[in-house]
Amino acid sequence: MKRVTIDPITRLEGHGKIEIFLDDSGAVANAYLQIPELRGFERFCVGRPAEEMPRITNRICGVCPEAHHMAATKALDALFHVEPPSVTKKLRELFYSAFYVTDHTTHFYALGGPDFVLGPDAPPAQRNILGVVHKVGLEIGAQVIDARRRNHHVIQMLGGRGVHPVAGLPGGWSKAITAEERAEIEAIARQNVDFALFSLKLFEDVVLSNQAYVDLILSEGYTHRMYSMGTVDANNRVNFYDGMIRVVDPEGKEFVKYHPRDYAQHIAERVEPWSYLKFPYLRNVGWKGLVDGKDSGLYSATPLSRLNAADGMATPKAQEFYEKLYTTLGSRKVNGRFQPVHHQLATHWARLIELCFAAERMLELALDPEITDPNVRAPITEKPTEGVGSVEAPRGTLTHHYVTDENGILTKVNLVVGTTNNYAPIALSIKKAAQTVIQAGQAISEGMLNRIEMAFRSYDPCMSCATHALPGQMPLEVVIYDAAGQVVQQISRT
Amino acid sequence: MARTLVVGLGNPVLTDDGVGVRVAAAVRAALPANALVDVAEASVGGLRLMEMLVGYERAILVDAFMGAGIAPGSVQRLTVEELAEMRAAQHTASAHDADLTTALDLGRRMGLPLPAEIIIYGIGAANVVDFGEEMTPAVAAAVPRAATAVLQELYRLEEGSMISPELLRRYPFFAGLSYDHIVALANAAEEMAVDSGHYFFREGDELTRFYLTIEGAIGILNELPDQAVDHKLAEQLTGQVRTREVVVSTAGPGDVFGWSGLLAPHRAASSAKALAPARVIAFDCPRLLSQFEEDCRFGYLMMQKIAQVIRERLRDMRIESLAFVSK
Repeated sequence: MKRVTIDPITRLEGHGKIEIFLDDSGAVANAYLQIPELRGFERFCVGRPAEEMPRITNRICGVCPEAHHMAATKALDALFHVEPPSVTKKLRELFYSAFYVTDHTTHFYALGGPDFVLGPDAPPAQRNILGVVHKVGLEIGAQVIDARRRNHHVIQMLGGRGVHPVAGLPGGWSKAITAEERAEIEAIARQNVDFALFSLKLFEDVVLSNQAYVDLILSEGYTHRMYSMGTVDANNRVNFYDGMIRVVDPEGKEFVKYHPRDYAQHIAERVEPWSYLKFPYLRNVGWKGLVDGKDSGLYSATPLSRLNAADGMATPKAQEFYEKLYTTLGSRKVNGRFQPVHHQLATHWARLIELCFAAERMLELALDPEITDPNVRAPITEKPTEGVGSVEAPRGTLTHHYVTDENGILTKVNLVVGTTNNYAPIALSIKKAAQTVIQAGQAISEGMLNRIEMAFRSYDPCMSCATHALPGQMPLEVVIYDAAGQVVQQISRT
Repeated sequence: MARTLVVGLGNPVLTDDGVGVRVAAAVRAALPANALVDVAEASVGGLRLMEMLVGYERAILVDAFMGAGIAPGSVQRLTVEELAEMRAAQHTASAHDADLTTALDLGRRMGLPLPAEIIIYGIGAANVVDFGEEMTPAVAAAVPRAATAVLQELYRLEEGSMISPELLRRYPFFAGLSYDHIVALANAAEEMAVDSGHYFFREGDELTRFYLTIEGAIGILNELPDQAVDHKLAEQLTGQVRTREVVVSTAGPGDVFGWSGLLAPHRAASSAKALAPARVIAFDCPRLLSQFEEDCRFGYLMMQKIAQVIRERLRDMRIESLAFVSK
C-alpha cells in the first residue's frame, strides 16, 4: 500500500498531518487526520479555585480566547447557582458578537475566500489575503483591517483586556458601559452591518455568479449527509451565546434538543486504533465508522450545521440571506423548514450569513435601553457544586464542565472544544475529497492537494485550541511512498 | 511615545511554549523607566501580531522555536526575512489567518506604519504539549541569557534613550563590577546634556540621582564665608555672614558626583554646576539602593567606590581650607 502524507508543517515534527493511503492501483484507500493533542489540561486545573477558569481557559487558545472565556464564565454561573442580571447577559452577548465579527471576517478573507477569489488552482503563494487584495483591490484590505481594528476595540472595551479578556465573573460582568461607550459601539455595529452586507455581495459576485464554483460546491466529493448540531434560542433560531443544543438528522427532522448540561447523555467519544484523537458522535445513534448517513452517529458543528440545525436567523438581513442560501442550493421546505444543505463548501457562505447575524445582533444590543444599566453583578449565595457552560464557538459548540468541592476548588474539568466536534467529519471530508481528486495511476498535482485541503479548511479547524498553533498558510508536503517505503514522488510548498 | 516594541509570544501555561512571554517579562523588569520601549505579550501571530506592531519603528519578537537541529535552550537571532525561510517559530503565524510575512506585506500595502526593522529571538523549546507553569530546565536556564540578548539589542536600537553596559564599562569608576552589575547600572541610567551654568542640584536639595560626567566639567561648589569681607563688621551691620560659592572640586569626564543620593538623608552636601556645556549619565538611586539590598556584593562594591568619591571630596575640602589658614 502506498502512503501519501500531507504535512501541514514541513519543518515542525509532531504536529498536524493528513495521511492518505493508496491501494496497489494508486487509488485512495483511506485518509486520516493526525493531530497530537495537548496534554494534562485537567490535571493543570484540578486543585485551583474555579473562578480562575475564565482566565486560565482563555490561555488554551490564542485564536478564540473570547469563546473559552465565555464558556468558562457561563460554567461558573451554573457552578455557583447564580443567574446573571439581564443586562449582564446582554453585555456578554454584545462582547461575543464583536468577537464573531472579527473571527468570521478573518476566516473568510484570509483563509476560506482566497480559494474562490483566486481559484483553487492558483499558485499557493497567491492564495492568501494578499492575493485577494491584489485581485479585488486595496480597498478590500482596508475594510478587513478596519473591521478587525474597530471590533478589537469593542472587545477590549467590554472584556477589559485586548487579548485575554478578564471581565467574566460568576453571575456577573466586571464592568458596565457608559452612554458614550454605548454610542461608540452602536456606530461600530452599524459599520459592521454594512461590512457584512458588502462581504455577502462579494460572495455572490465572485462565487455564486461563477457556475464552475457553484458546481464545485454542489459536487459529490464535498457533500456529506450528516447530523447537524447548533445552539438555538426559544424560537429555534441560531444563537451564539445561549440556548438549547439542537441536533437535526440528515433529512432535517429534529433528532434531539437538549440542555447543554446534559451533553454527556447525548455525545459519546470513540477511540480508534489508528489515531489518538477522540471522535465525538451521537450516543443514541451509535458509531458506524467514518461514514455519513442517518444510521451513522457522525455530526458536524460548523456555521453551516448551525444554520441547518435552526429554523432561521433572529435578525432580518441574516434571515433574508439564510433563505437565499437554501433556495439557491436546491433545498426544499419540508414541514415549514428548509431541508439541510450538506455541501461542505457552502460553509463559507453560512459563515458570512453568521457574520451578518453577529453584526445585526450587535446593533440590536447596542440599541437596547437596558444595556447601560450599571447593575451587572448578581450576589452569590449558594455553595458551588457542578456546572456546565456552553457557547457556539466559531468552530463549533464549545462546552466547559467543572466539578468542585464545597470550597470551590476544582476536582474535575472536562472541555469539548469546537474543532473536536468536527474531527470525524473532517476525516470523512478529507477521505471523500481525496477519493474524488486522486485517480488511480495519476500523478498528484499541487491543485489536487489544495482541493483536498479545501475540504479541511472549510471547517476552520483551530488546532491551537484542540492542539497547538500552526503556521498560518499550512504549507503542505506530500510524500508518496511505494510499497517498499521508497519515496517515489514529493511535492511540497511553503 | 515608545518607538520600539518587544513582544513575547506563546502560552505561559504550556510548559516551554511561553518562554517568549517569560523573556519579555524579564526584559520589562530590567528596562530603565525612561526607555522608549514598550513590552507586550501575545499568544497568536499573523494579522493580530502585525496589528500590534503598527506605529512602532522597530520590533523585537521573542518566541519558542521547535524543529530539527534546534537544541532546547538555544537562543538564536533572526531577521523577519530569515524567519520566512525557516518557519520554526511557534507563534509568529496564526493557523487562523496568515503567516507574519503575509500579514506584514498586507499591512504595508494598506499603508500602515509598520516597523522598518523586525528582529526575532527564538529559544529552543523541549515541551510544548503538556500544560504546566514550570519550564524544562534547559529552557528555563535560557531565559536570562535571552533577556540579556534582547536588552543588548535594545541598547543598540535605543541609543540615546538607553545607556548600554558597554558604554559604562569604559569608565574606570565601574572597574571590578561584574557584567550583571553593569547591566543593572545601565538599566537605571539616563543620559543628559546641559548648558554651561546649569545647576544639577544645590547644597541641601534632596537627591535621588548620582551622576557620571561624560563630557565637560562640573564644579562642586560650597557656600563658604567670603574671605574678602570683614565678617565681624559685616555681621554687626547686616546681621548676616557674607558667603560666596567656592568651587572646591571639579568632576571631569569619568568622574562621579552627587554621592549624597546614595546615602541617607539623601541631601546634597554641595552644589553641582556645569562649568562648560556638559553631558552626563544620571543614575536612579532608589532603584539601585533596592538592588543593593538584594545583592549585597553589588552594594558593597558600589559603596566602596562612593566612599572613594567622598574621600576625594574631603581631600579637596582640606586643600580649600588651607586658604583660610593662610589668611
